[in-house]
Amino acid sequence: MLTAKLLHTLTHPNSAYGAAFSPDGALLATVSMDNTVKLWNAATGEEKARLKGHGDGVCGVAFSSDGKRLFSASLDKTVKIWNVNSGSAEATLGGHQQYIESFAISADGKWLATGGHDNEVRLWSDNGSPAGVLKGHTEAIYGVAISAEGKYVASAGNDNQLLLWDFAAAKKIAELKGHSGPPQCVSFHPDGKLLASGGSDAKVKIWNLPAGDLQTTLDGHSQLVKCVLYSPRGKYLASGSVDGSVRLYDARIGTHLLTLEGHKNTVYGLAFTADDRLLATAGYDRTIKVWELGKKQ
Amino acid sequence: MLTMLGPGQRMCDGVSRRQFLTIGGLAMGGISLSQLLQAEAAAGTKRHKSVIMIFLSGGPPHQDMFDLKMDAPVEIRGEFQPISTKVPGIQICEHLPRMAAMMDKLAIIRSLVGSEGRHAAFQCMTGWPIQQQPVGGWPSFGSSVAKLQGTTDGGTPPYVNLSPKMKGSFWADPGQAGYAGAAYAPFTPNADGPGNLVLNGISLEKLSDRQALMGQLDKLKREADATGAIQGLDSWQRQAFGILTSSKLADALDLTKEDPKLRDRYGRGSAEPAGYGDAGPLLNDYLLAARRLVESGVRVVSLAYGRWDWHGRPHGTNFDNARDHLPALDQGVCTLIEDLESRGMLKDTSVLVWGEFGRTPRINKNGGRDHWPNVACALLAGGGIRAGQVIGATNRLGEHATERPVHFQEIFATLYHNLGIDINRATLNDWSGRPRYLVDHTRYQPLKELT
Repeated sequence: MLTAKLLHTLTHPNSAYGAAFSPDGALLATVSMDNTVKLWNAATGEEKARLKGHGDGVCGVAFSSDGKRLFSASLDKTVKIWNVNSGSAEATLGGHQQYIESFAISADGKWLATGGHDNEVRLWSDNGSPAGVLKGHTEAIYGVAISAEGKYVASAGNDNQLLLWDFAAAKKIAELKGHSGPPQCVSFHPDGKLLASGGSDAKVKIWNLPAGDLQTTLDGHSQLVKCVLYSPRGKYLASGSVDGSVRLYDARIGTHLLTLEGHKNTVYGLAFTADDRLLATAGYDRTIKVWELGKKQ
Repeated sequence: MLTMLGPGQRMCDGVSRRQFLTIGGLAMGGISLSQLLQAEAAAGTKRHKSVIMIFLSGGPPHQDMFDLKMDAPVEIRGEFQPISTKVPGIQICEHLPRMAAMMDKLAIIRSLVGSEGRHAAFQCMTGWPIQQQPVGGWPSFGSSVAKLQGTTDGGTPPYVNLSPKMKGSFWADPGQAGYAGAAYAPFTPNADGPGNLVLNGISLEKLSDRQALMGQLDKLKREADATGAIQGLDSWQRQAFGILTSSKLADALDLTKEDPKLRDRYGRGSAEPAGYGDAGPLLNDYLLAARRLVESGVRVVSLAYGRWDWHGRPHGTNFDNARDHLPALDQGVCTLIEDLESRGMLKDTSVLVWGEFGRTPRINKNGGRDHWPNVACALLAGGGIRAGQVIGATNRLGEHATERPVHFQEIFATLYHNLGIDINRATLNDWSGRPRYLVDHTRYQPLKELT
């Protein structure tokens, strides 16, 4: 039986939007509507640094594959690349004409994607070079994901569209239909054969790739599902909701394993360590909770 | 920060605006004593009455707080459930459980009308629209009270606004002195950011250096004399000096002197800007400071609380933000009321919670609610009002008042009444010399349901 022990409750002075662990699991980065990125010692919960520079809330964060750089996406329409050691911003990537609301990095760390209220998905290489613009949504993009090696992109929009894209060709492959109301969030399984989506219908749906057919629907949340994330080793699927809970599922068969309670507001972001051992959950209640996952016989 | 004689914008009359805004309100000079006594005597008031006004910057969602519309379609109804309160028949939002438990001490206005629809503190501070002001401008409520009633004991200013500096300056507006005169502007300890009380480099610890302080005051006096902007400066100077050299004001603002357990009960909060970052913080310490100020002798304390302009994603939905703000407001306001009551101050202290307008019945595509001047809500407590009731009602969708529309000026009329000021008699002259009533008393009177 899967268990979870709450290790830390970390705070921002404003709502928390996202989190990311460094590749070695030593650092945790968290982002907030307070316009900052915080770096924490993941083991002790000690705040190490607060990175300031964005002009609006920060909605997404990820470490580079070598852990030396940090990417942060902001409502200020930019992505910043930070030097983790110095805490200084090395580059600012622009292009979106409206708020960025969603952000993702590929599992190999080579590609970034941002979704905006300008209805566009923008793609970037990890050195900050633009790698394409995906146009097809007609309203704000709430969720975006890139498959492990940058083969596929998925996007969820307020126009009710859940779209699957070919990254290299920058072409739409399929529209995945099944949610009632706007899909909110997406995540690729590390093997690239499954896509999970969460919706305003409080459902989590699993889709087979590349066909895009619906494999299963997971119930359990009572309100809109704001975030979904497969763990790096592919064991778990986590979902966070307006109902304040985080649900953990077996990534392969969709069995519900555990529900984490504790947030007092919508869960906006999720992050696993590379070994699937720690899970960070970021909430609109201004907290980030760090959970240690384990097995009980 | 209390700044005296600091750099400021030179106005067209040659007077530095900032100088008088920051230390104004310390005065009583220029008032007709007979007018003051007349107004107070008419209301039969002898004791120190006070008002704490909590301004919810941005316009709180009436239908998600005090007027839930469970019979409306889902695109209007919202995410929250109503809960019963201590008063049978009155229900409010599930995220205000402590208010529900003390509903017998509260009065809810569900039919606040007359908003000019402007994103600003102006109407909530003055009671009047910003357009077509009389000569000198409308004085804020606190400035009018300051001019009419002066200080309570010479050791504290009559009017304090605790709002900090904000990106959205229209929300940081502490309330203008208007034709009451610059001397009656609020004392604004946080206007340059929360922090130390400093008098142009003179810390409160050094206030015993009377010569230095007098030097600052003399400089101000010379400048004021040169412009003729302040009458009765000697009186003003004496009282300003009394306030600045008294420890009462500094003590009231020093929350480290308060029991930390009580501070915890209020909820403390964050000093960083709430919400989008352009408004004030969600700082319950302000509410505790307000009580301490009133206790020390201040007549009117106003403050901006949080960021209630919830248009939706990506800055969180209306409901995300409500789940963030409502519990903090619930804790802070209810502790304030309990605290005032436990000290025997509640019947003499009116507490008002409101914003500049309500929000749209229909939830927008980003999960937000937009501006809705047609109707709004307000919460009142203390001051001797008849609590435990709801005044007014809106239609099924929360679009407009259907019963007992209550105008902003009726709220001000009620507050003046609670302070012992007769709105049918008290006037202040505008700069053309024309006497002005505090509210349009021919149309608006204190709420008889409350008084």
